[in-house]
Amino acid sequence: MTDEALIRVRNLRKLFPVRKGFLSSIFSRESLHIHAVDNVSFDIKQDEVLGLVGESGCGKTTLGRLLIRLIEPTSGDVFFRDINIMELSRSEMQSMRPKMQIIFQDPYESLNPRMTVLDLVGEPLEINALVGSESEKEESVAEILEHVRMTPPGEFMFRYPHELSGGQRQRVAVARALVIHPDFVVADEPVSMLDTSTRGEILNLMIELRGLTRSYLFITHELAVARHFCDRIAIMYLGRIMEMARSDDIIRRPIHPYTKALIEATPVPDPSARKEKVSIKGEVLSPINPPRRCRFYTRCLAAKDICSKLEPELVDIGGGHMVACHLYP
Amino acid sequence: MTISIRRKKFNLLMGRARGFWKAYKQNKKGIFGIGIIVFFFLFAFVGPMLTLNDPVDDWDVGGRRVPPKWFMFLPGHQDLVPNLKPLKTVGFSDNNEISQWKIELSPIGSYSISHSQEGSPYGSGMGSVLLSLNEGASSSSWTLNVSKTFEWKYDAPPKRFRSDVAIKAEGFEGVEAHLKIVLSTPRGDQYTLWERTIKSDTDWFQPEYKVDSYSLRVKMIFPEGVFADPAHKIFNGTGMYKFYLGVCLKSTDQGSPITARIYIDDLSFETMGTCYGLLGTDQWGRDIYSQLAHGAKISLAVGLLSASISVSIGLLVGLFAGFMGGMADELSMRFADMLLIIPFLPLLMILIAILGQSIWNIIIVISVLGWMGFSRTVRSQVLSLKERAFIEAARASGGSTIHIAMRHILPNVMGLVYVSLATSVPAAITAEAALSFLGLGDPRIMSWGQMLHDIVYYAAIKELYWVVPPGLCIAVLALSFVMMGFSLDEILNPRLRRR
Amino acid sequence: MRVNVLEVSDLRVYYHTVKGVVKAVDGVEFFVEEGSSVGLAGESGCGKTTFGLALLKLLPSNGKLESGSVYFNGRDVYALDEKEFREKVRWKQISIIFQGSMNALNPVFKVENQIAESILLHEKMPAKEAIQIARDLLKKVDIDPVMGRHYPHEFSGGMRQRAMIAMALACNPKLVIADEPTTALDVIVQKQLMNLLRRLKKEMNLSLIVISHDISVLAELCDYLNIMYAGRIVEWGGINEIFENSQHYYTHGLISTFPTVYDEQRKQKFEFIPGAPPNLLDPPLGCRFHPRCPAATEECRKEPPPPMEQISRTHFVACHHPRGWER
Repeated sequence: MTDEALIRVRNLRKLFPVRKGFLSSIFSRESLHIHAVDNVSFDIKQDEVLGLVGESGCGKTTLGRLLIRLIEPTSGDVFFRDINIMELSRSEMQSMRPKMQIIFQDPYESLNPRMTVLDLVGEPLEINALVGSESEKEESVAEILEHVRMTPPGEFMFRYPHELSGGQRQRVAVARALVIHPDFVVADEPVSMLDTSTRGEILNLMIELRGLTRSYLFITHELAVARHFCDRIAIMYLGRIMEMARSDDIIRRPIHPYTKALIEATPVPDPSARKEKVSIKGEVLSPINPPRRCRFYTRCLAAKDICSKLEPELVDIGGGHMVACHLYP
Repeated sequence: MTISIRRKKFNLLMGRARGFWKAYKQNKKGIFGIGIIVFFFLFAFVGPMLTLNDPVDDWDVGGRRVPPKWFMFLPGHQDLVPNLKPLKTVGFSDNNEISQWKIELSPIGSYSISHSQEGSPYGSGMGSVLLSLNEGASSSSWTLNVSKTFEWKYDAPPKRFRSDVAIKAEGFEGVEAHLKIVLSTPRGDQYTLWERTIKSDTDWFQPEYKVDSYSLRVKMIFPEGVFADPAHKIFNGTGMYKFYLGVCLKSTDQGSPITARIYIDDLSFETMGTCYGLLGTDQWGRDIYSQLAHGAKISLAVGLLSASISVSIGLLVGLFAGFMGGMADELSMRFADMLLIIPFLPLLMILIAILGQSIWNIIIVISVLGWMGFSRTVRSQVLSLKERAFIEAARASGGSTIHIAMRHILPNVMGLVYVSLATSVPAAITAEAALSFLGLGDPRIMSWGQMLHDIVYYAAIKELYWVVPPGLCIAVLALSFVMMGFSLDEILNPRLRRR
Repeated sequence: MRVNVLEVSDLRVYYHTVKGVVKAVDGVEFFVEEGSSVGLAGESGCGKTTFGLALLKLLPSNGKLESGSVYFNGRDVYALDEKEFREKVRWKQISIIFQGSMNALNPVFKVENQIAESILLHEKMPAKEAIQIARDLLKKVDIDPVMGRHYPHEFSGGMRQRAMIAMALACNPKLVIADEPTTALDVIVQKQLMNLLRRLKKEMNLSLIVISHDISVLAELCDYLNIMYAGRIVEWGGINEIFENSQHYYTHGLISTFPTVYDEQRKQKFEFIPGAPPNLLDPPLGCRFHPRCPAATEECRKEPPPPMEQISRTHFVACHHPRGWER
């Protein structure tokens, strides 16, 4: 791992307008927005796996799509190496696409049900003109299928997604993302639709295939998976990053109260470790026009006065461990 | 390598087709529908070949407005009489054809009968029978009877009878000929249906009117006059009837040699029964079976063509609107709404009235007014497909809009296309039938709707043998396409697929 | 010794599909002691949910009960006809918390009305009274009773699941089946829900059947655990015995593949069970787990599926070559 940043995210914001009812749109001028991603900055280094962990609705999926500009941000920049991809034109972006790929959560959804494995995996090659002929395409596809353990490739190439098991489907999705050797892959909950018993296979593959790509953004709601898979973990809550550190550090020495609650609540397959305690209160607030204060204020058991008045910044507290909390130190 | 890929792809395609057929076979509705459709296709291709009658132009192939032959076997219809043609052929094209006639001459030997190559230009072609006076015939009057005796087996009279002859006279100098067509009954009554005196040479001519029991001239033979039914009067019992052409020659100028020759051609006699063919006849004695068979062709062609055109338009508009979104979507969908709110049939009628009553106009108008519903379906499907993750995946791989539309959207709406094709066909068939029924069809083409139109026009709504075939065909064909559509929907639409 | 509130023997449920017969539940023996909570674990598609539905006779139309008997409180409830079963057993004695709470709640009715309706279906009382009971139930599951007047879409995911639980408790059932009660919920909400279920079980003296693919949920909630694979129970035992001393390789796989956050070291490799659950149209001969089993022998491939063998008083396993004691 080098320290050189592959992806630099600066002040990225994405607000989704909320459609109001007819009457309220007449009587109120105030515009409502979902603050899905709110002023987020971080780097992803060369050859690094960054985990993005948070509950559903915290904006992690939106952030992943923003990073490869599948959706347009409200403001902010994303630099890929030295190129600000938010300033690229449509066709320039098109030519950048093969360098950044995405693996989707649901392999039932992300594979076109009417295409064979050969066509599905070969599609990125064809679009980006990386193969000259059908036979070249078949060779490349066979090679990557070999990599994702769908052997013999000839047997799987002419199958349709519905003829594959969930694990095989996700392997096809991985093959499809990696077949053009991208520098950066956003993996959006790649294993959350699979049974726990078969997840390991996909995760191992993604680790093994690091030769084909450089960096991952690994989006997940499961801290336990992120803890083992990722080099660094960023904890996200209501559109903001709350804490970010090396994965060992963040598990052993969590600082933010939210991180602590998450770790406590993470299930353990051990009946002797039953705990009732949950050091968090209330429910996730609506991300619509959140007030300017610590986003976790309403649920924090240790909240102070300042937390309700000022939004904490993400600061480095040493050794690359960053946290956004007024309570530290 | 490429060949092996191609073979594999072919096998894959075959496998899919086989899988589809396997699923389709399970669907009783679908099998029923496709069976009937295949039957109608066969009927449309083979049916017209089985009859020589033209559905529009061949009038009076049998009695007018008579039920089918098989009605004879139904109770209450035993008195039906079929067409009777005592003569196998008319036209005297060879000696054999002369021999089916009985030709009597008096005095014997004064006349010779021979076959002539010349034939009436109006009739069945070359060949006629030539009656010529022998040299040195000495009498001053001669009689010739060309007759045919036939048996009338039926208690009831025929609907109508007709007779015909073409005659040419040559060498009429000092000779006068009296010609007549006579029908004699077993009771000994003689009815002269037509007569004429020839005093000089004539070229080929036919009786001024065909001898026809419907004609006023024949009716006037009887005391009832206009109200007489000659067929009824003459054929009022079973037995041997005789039809003959009588020629009576008289010399008016004694002394000079007589060279009179008479050519006779196309001598015919036929009775038209009170039943005809498989399905009877219409107001003008045209074959209903032939109309039905030709109508099948028309209905299928109109249905399939209009459905394909309207589905294509709907597909294009739907893809365009769904994929482009925004202004393009709004405009095209509002346009579709506009067309949708105008009542369909009145609009069709007005358009046809303006464009003119041709089958092509009907096809065009039906398809131009039939795409709106399907375009909405396609649009909504495209809108939901656009949100699917695999579209995003294709975009993430750098796929262009065209690539996504052709590679991902289109194949996923094809299932809808097949279903919609199947369900648009009956709509088009019934629309064409409705137009024709209202009298806006192509008058030169006998479609099922046109048949229904005729039925109502000639107040024949109670004639079941005439009403049922076109009505039933429209209903069954439409139903079978709908059934095929439903079963295709069940198979191709994953939401309806049973576990 | 405690009595069994539920005893199921030789339950077989087959789905008759176009492609053939899917043997979703194929000879399951199962029992629940009064006041205990029993887990049913297995990967998706192994027949867990079908089993839960079969207990309540709620199978889809193509699902047929081929054989089996269900005794509830010593009474053969499968012998009852549909009307009696509906009136006396379903929801009154045995109720179920469904998998997707969004689909199970009707979006056009207020939550308290929906709960009241399920009471009124089984008991004669004024509607007002039923609504009062519904509000009490909401309070019991930690929802502000005022929220009862709201519609399901105004509830968060966790609250909807709580409302589902309240509904399941509407008629004071003895036994509640929780089918994937926490799936698709965030970990914190999941934790709160599990605490709630545990509390309710104690307060109301419920017996619980928890169906889940998530072994950690079962570890938190259950006293006994059944492991189901391809329509059959392959291992049954007390929760501690299963987790500390799993005998079946499948059970061991399920437990060891679950990543834990507390591991001291980052793992470089994740464990997994290779392959996928079999297609129940045509399950493998012999032990159904043999294609994925690391210890499969010729015997496992050819012999019929092994019968349940006793390991200890509360531990049974159906395996030709159990893993044996590790410690």
